[in-house]
Amino acid sequence: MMTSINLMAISMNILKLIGVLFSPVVFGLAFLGPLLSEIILLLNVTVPVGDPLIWGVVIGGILGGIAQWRGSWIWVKPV
Amino acid sequence: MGETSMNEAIMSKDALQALSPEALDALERKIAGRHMHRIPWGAVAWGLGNLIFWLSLWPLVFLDYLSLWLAFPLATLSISLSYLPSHEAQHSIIAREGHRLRWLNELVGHLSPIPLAQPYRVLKATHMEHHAHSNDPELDPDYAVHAKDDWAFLKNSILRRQPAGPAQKAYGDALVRTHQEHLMIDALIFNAVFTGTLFALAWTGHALEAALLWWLPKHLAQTYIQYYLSWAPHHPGIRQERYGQTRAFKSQLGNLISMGMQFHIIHHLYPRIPLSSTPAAFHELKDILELRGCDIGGWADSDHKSEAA
Repeated sequence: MMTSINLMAISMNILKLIGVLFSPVVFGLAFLGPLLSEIILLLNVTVPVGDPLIWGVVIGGILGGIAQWRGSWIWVKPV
Repeated sequence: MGETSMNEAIMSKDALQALSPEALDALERKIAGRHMHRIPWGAVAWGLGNLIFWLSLWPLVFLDYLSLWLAFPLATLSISLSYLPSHEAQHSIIAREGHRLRWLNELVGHLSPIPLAQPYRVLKATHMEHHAHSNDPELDPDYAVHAKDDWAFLKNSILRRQPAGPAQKAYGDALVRTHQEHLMIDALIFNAVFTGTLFALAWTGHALEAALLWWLPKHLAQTYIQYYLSWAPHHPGIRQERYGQTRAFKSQLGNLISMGMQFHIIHHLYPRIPLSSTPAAFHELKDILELRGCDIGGWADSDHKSEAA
């Protein structure tokens, strides 16, 4: 009985971890962040302060956070 | 085509109507059977060659032999073409179970959809459910693709892929319903490798390459594939019976760019006919399908001999 409860708890934790890894916030930080910083450099945009990578990660993180909260990257919620 | 088969193919509609239901069934099956049981080597070369082509874009771009901006449309084209060879394998068209080339069927099935980051076993399991329950709102995993017109399809396709959208839920439900939930592990691994690769490339200074060789082309290809393989041939998606699940249609972009889906009706009726043979099979079966009440789109008055050529 204890073993099955432990296995279930482990499975639930793994599923939670997978949910976090595939979440929009992680995607925004881990992919959109560096991508935005490369676009900033490509377009020769001068950032007011700091490194373009920091700006990219901040903007990517905010976009990911909004996507997480709204359930949509494009603001419009899926029906 | 032999003389007898040609005569069968050009029987008048009146002569077809005069046949008993059993004779019409037999004639339909006989004509369809002529297009089966051959190995579609073109699909094998296409599936494996296309994967090599897409993979080769990476070193070519990384070593500056090819501009990223040129590689982007090439990657989009390649990923758009990556599904259909696997689709042939899903239906065991390349080689059935027990055939000496079965390994090749499975190899093409597994390898060709890699650029789409989709596992063969999940694609196959859910596609079989689509065939078994086409246009059933509850049981067809592809049902959510239906939309009233092209623009509604595009809007629906984008919205369904959002984090809270139902894009993958129908596939997961189909796996659970058919007791194949273990295949979700395949989907999980593919998703992890796909996103992990994007993240790794992004943090090693190759985010633009990751975005333009894989991430964005994959989304564009998914839209294109869903449009021509799911939406267009099943529209309006209200009939569920054998001869009403799909339709033939005339694409303004021709048969090649619509990926042969103008004749998808043949595929649903006889899934063992290779994609490359569906136009010929359609033109030979067209009058019979019309008698069956099928929607044959704009092909009703076409000359089958010239169109098939």
